[in-house]
Amino acid sequence: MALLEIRNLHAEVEGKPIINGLNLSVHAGEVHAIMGPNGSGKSTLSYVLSGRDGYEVTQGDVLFDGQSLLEMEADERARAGLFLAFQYPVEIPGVTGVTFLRTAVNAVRAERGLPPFDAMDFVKYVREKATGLNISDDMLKRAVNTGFSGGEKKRMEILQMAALEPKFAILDETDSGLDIDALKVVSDGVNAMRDGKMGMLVITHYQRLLDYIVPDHVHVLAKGRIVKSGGKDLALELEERGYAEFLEDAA
Amino acid sequence: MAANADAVEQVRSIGEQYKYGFVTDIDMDLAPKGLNEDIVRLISAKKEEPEWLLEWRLKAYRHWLTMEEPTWQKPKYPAIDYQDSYYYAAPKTKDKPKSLDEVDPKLLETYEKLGIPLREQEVLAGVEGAPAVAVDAVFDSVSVATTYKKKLQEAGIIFCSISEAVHDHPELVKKYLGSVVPYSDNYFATLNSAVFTDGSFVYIPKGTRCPMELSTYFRINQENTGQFERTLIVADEGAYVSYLEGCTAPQRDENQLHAAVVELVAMDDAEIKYSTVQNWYPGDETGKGGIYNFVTKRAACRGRNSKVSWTQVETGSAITWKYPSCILQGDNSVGEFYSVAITNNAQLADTGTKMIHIGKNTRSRIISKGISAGKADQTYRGLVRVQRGASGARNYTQCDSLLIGDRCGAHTIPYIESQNASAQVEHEATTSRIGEDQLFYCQQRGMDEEEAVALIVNGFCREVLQTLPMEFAVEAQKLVGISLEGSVG
Amino acid sequence: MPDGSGQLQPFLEQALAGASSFAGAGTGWVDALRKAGADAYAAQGLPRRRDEYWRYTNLNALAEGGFTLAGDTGDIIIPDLPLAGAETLAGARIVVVDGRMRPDLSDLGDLPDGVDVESLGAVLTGAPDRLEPWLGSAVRLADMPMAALNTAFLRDGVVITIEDGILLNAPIHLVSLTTSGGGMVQPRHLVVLGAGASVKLIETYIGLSDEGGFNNIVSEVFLGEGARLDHFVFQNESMARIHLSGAAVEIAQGASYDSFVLQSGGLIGRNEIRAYLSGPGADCKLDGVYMGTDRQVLDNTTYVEHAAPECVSRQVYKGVLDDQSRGVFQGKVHVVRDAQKTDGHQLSRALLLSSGAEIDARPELEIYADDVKCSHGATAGELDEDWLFYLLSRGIPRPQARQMLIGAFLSEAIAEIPVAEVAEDFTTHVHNWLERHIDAAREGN
Repeated sequence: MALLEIRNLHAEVEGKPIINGLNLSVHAGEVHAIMGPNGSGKSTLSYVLSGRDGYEVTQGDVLFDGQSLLEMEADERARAGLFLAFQYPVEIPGVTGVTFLRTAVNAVRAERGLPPFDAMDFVKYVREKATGLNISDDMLKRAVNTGFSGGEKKRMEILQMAALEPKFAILDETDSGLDIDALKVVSDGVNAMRDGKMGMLVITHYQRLLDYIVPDHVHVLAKGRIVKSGGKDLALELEERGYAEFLEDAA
Repeated sequence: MAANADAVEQVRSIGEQYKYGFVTDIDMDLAPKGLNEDIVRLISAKKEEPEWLLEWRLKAYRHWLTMEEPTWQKPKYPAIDYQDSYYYAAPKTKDKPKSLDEVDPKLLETYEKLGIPLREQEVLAGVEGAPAVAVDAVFDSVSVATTYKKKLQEAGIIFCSISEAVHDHPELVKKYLGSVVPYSDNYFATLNSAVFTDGSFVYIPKGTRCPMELSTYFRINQENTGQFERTLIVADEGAYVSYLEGCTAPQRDENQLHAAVVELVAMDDAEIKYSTVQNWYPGDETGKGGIYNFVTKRAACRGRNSKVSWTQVETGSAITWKYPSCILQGDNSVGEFYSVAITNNAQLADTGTKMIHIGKNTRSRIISKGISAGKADQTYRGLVRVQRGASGARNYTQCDSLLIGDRCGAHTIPYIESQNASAQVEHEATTSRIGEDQLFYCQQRGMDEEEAVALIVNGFCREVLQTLPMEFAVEAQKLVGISLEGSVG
Repeated sequence: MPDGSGQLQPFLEQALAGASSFAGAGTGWVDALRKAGADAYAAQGLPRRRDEYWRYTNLNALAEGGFTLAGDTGDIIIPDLPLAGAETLAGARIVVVDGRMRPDLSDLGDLPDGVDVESLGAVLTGAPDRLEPWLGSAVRLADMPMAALNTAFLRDGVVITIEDGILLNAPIHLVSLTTSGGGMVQPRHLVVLGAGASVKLIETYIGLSDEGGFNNIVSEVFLGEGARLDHFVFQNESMARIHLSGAAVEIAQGASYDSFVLQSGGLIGRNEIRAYLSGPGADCKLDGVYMGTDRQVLDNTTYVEHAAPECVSRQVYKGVLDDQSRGVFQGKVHVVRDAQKTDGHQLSRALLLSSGAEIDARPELEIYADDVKCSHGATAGELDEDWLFYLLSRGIPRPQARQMLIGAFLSEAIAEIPVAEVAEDFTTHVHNWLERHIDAAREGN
């Protein structure tokens, strides 16, 4: 059984259809890359899967670990083990990173029947997860994402992923706005979490990220559906030839 | 949709769980209903007050008869029938209790329900590692018991009910009572001056730092009584005290009036920290019932380098109307006002502060956070006045409003009056709402909506909640609808 | 509610007495409008300290002034006008003397078709009904007691009508002069822009006499959908005159109103603007600079109503106050229940230059919608000591250093003016004012 199964998904935003019959199966331990031109529905897919308001599913279903994902609220999906690394992480003034993360981690732990972390234990836990990500204590004491550079925000997303230990992670254009060094740090962090059990959907416009987070499968998303699938070489082909042919075919 | 409908629901539900709404069934000693000169005399007689105090009350009462109830405030309320109320209600006891064992057990039960550590052992055992807290419990305008008196007495600190202070320390009371809020000050303060029954009196002698938090709990239990406390805190030269006022009231359909007066006096190099966590019954979601909280609180920073800071977390009352103020008379004196006010359902609040800069190089800081939800309406009204001779005055004001839902209102009306060129006055105000993006971000991390709203609101109020004494910050956070373990250290 | 009895209502009798002879008398709706004004003024009386929006601006001098309505002023010689750049740029010049429009002194030759400039008195006498949809409908009499008085005295002023789609590049310059004969003037101006129309209006107020007097000016502005009005006002009345100016501006969907008022004259100078953003996407910018000396009271009172969603409002008022002068800023932003996505910001900054000066500010936000971005800020203070020291340490003499810093403070606001010539004119005036008032004779700061 696939960990995440998307069946004939159709979704609209403000009455406009964006996802038009998308099918995808991701098994535990697999990393699938989704590439596509702008406007193909990449971010929409990530929001539909994570349950954001304003995105309406008009047809199809999504099964997560055998359960219908679409019936669940956003936070229920998160507690069920779904994680989204945002392309543009939002700022929350007055709420420190450590407080935010502890509240989230304890919510997920409660769902799993685990006892919550108290303040001191949590700090230890987070510091451990933060090794290799270049995240200082100071960054954690600041208000969530407030005044962070692009690279710092993305590293924070990966730290949150590490702390929440999801079953399935969606990385939404995690590489956007990052230079090579930042990209390496973020990719190392992600790769460290590949344990053969976690499933991952890596959404990206450029092939470069996939040199670091090597996918098992690559799919091309155009006009709301998957038009071609292949191995990691497909990404290199796309780099050379671009998306033009798919825009015609997918008409 | 302008606001996440569920978030609105969450905040509404916080207001529904008023867990302090129970009534204590106890024998009460009541004066006849109504207000007239005889009642004033009766109150004074019951408390065996000296002549000068009776005269003061009568002057106030007669002045009150000439005054008109004010109408400039934003929250409007139906006319109060001042005759339809009891002005004196005390639990019946034969004599003053000599020890806590003699206090009516039902009363103690009430205080236990409220979570007040009345018994000294409980105080020591209950809060691990925290400093002890001395408590003065007031039940329907009568101070019932005060803990830790002996320990405080050793330090020369006086912490007792005003009634006791009138008998035991008349010269102190006479010197300071009405010196910050004169009996003619405003309609409700004048009424209070005539009929106040009790409250706390604190005197910290020169150079003394009060070794523990002082705290008072008020509770309005009897139907149709107004609560008219009078509190007077005097910090002599170089003294320091931190004082906490906490309030609850039973759920009743009628409105009850709470018109208290608090006077603070800080002499040279003295500091008073006054924190209020107010959770009076706010009325039901249709706006029926609830407490009218009309309070006059004022601090005179008389001495050089004196400092007073007001911190308030106001989550209750049907109508809150109060402006804790600082008169910065002494050179280099400092006034601070930190406030979180939450109004939900049909609550109304018109609150803020007044900072009057008179001496040289005085400073004031105002941080006000207002959260409005449901159909509530909240107004921040502040005055920063720099008088002509107040050279070098500095003020910083930050008022932020957070609106939850599209049927509530938030207003900011600051008055800035500066007559001195060398003064710097800075005021900023913003209005915002909980963003859908922020809510979604929290939810995607596993928090349900209630937790997410609580987290974001707490972040919004953080700067203010941090100024509360640690022991009570937790209770305050809970009241704000947040269950957060405060970060240690 | 105060009733008429016992209230001070100066000038009311004059208004009532003159009503039957004012222009348009006999036309039903005009008489009714004047009466409505008189009634509203009678009910409220002259604003006193306890009236919220007049508590800082004392009008006792009006009550005691005993001014009478100006008669006809004969020939006058128009002096060189201070806004030289604006004068050169303007495509038309309208002259108003002692509250009466003077076609004989005005120059309207170059105005294109679709742009009409007329005397209110002439229209009320000749063809009043054309004005019925507009005149009196922007002013809310209960909120503006002095505009109510002006309404009772309705008889002359300027009417500017621009048809749909007309884009007038060259500004219209409205010059208002008062002479020694002009005790009290109560002009009413009306500006109506059709959909998509755009015009720049520059106003100059000059007093030719040093005698006391009273100007009570009211302008009603109606901006059709997508229309745009840039409105620059230079108030440089005589220092003995009481100058109250009230504007009520209706801004329809997608329309824009930009105002900049420089106040430097008047014993009392009040610039009151009430802007109603009544359709989505409407916006207004209300800016101003004021410079007070002697015992002047310079007051900027604004009210912006966000009555529709997605409207934007910006306000910046900056002032310097010297001697015993007083600055007043009262800015209220009101956002109605469904006015979501409102964007409203306000800033008031004042510099006090002497120990007798005073600033009173009350920026107010009244908000009933939650998806809004609103903020206000108010600061009052003196020149930054560090900056002053920096200039002094570079050898710049103190008075000049102060002039530079104050000039920089004010010019930040003036730089926002989109018409370069007007910005230059204002900057020149500020510069001259500073040279006159900040001089070597002064001690300390």
